[in-house]
Amino acid sequence: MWQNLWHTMVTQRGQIWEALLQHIGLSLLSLLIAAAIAIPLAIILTPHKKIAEGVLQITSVMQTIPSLALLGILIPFVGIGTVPSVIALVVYAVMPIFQSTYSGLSEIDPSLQEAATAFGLPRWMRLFRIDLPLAMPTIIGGLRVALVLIIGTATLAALIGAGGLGTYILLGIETNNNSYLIIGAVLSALLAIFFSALIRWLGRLSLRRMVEVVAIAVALIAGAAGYQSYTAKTATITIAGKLGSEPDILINMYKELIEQQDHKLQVVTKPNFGATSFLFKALQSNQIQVYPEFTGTVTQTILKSHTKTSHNPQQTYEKARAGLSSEYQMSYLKPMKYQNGYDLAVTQQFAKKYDLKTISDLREIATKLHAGFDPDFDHQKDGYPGLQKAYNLQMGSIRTMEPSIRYKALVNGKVNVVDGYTTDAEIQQYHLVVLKDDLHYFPPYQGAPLLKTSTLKKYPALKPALNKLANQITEKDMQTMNYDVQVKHEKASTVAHHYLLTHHLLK
Amino acid sequence: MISFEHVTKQYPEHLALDDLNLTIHTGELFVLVGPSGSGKTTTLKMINRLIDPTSGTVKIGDQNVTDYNIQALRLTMGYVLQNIALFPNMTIQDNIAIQPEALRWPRAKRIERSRQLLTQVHLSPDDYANRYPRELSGGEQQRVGIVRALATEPKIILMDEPFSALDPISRKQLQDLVLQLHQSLNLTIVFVTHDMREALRLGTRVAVMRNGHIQQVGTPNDIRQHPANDFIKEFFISAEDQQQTLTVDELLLSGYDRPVEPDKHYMRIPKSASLNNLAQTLKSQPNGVIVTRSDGQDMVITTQDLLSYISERGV
Repeated sequence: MWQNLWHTMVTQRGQIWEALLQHIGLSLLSLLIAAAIAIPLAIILTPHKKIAEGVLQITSVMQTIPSLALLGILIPFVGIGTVPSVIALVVYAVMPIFQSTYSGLSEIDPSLQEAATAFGLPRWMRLFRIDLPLAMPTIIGGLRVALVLIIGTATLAALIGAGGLGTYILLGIETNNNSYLIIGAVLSALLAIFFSALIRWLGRLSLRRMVEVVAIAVALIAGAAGYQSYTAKTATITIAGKLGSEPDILINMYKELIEQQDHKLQVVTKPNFGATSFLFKALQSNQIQVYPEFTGTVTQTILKSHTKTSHNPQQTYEKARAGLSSEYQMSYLKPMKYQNGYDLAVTQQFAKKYDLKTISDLREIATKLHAGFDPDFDHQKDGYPGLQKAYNLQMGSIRTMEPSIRYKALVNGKVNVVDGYTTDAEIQQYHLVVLKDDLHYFPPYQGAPLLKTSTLKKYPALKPALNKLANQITEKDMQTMNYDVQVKHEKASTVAHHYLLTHHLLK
Repeated sequence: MISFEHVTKQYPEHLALDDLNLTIHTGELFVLVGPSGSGKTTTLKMINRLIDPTSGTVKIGDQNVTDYNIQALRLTMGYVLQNIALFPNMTIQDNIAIQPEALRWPRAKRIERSRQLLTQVHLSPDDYANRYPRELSGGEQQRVGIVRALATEPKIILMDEPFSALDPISRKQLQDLVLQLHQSLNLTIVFVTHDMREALRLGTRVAVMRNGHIQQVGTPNDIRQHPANDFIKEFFISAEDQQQTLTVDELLLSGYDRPVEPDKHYMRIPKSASLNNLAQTLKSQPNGVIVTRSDGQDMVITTQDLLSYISERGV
């Protein structure tokens, strides 16, 4: 496992570094904005005790809003990406900073306040020479609390495409990859410790020095943000993908194909951009132009008109295409060959022993079967309960287990059949046999490029370029490619390029 | 000249000042003395408008204090607080120069002024200018507190029980300092205290206050010889009570002692002996008596020492 971790860190150091910088940028920007709001507000309100207490109540209430809910509320108004993340983080950070500044200022020794008044000091001098320096230890305490809060909460920004270390945490959860989880979690923790110490150091400086340091930090952040938006502007097409290796490989293929079709187009990929709803909203608001989506996901979660899911892949695609066109004015290009849906898998040895090829073949030995199922699969209607009915299967025993443990339990002989996804890298890794869904029970999940019809009109090269993948890539191909990225830690772009070359899709 | 005309201060709970009339002449060291709640601090704080009267007027010269810009008014006065109140985040030098800084004096001039003032009160600028208040003893801090009030060369200095929190030695030294500064700088000082002995020792004139009224205004001699009423007499008696409990230790603490001369013969008395006891013993002991100080050192006190103590403490 340590070897694995080391390998991931070495092969992905570029992306990890980028995620770290994104995380720092996001956190510091939010902290600065929160401080710029909370500290002056506290200074103004300190003489007005009642109003200050009221504001404190309001900020405390804001603190109790769950962060995911807050992000959800913000998306319709400000879209996805950095802006809503920063707003949410600011909302959380305002309260500790306001509270500490307010209590720091109102707890200054009354005789010092009397002295400052009696000496006839002007307001600004009193504030900058006496009040703020005396309240500074308390304010610094509040800033540190806020920063630790921000760095922790900022991991959720990955859910809405703002990047950061949360990408690795989500990716780790999504793909059962402990290396990613550890990288994401440990780096955020180290970041919190480092910046907390940095702020404490800042607190020991004189007010003037402190202002200088903060000004430099602001300049750096602004510079970095400016550079990013400058480089971002040169891109005409942004392709995003959901979490995981598979979308990452696909969007790299899209990029190469588009750039081959029209050299003038600048394409940027944004892997691990977030969950379905965030990607779809980003597409609607034109923050991204293309992303690969599954037919089954379109019919079941995106389209408003819920109809009974067909088990025929072609019908499902047609329904998805028509629905997207009429409901969202979007174009759904031709799907690839492979299906990424539920399956049942057994070891080669076990398949040979009982001559298993299809799910129907399980029926005869059903009572001897010990199944290991993902808890969702075990409960969902389109999972085991439906399967049971469709195939008239009565498994001997069923144990629900974490997706990551499932395959290991199968290989170790603890169970002899598991559920999984048809393109899981583990199928190759452990040489498993996927049983054919001969009754076409599982809903079809075919991947295809999704984009706005207006985008297609603006860039006519997109359609022929992306349609080159139509009916390409088999389940085996995808398993291999996932294996290369997830287990062998090859770069998604390398794997994608290699596939396109060997299948003569690049000139 | 500072004058109070029919000044009343009414708080929701009590009447702090009741129709106060008082004139403080330019160049006086004017002491307001009285028990707590007598209204002496309220009176003082009306001069720099930390407190405004409910009715009546306070004037400096011919002008009502409310006619001045309040900050300008305060910047022309020095103020010394009971709790000393040096700003803990600033060096001694910056503390002293806080009012000059508000008046936007150039930095070099502020430093020069601070150092000059430190020298004047026998604190070496090289040792003290860049230290922080917490590094100084209470007596040293209030020394700085006093020169901070002098920084802009104000004509009026207000002192609100400045020595009540200090030990007897420091108190005596700082009283001497105030007397010396008052004489050499031609200042008008308004000084609040609850200690009658301090009032009589320092004041050019003294106003004795009680329950928001002035009982008597006069020179220390007037008040000592012709107390206006029983309250003032009792105030004296309680001050003398304090005196009777004075012991040899007080002399030691105040520095009225001298080293032992090895070839002479002395009688030994405890440092807890009363001053009466000391005086009686000294009548038969021309060489003086020997006492062990709290630091373990044997010291000698002579008749001359006792006399200097009594004359300078104004018994």
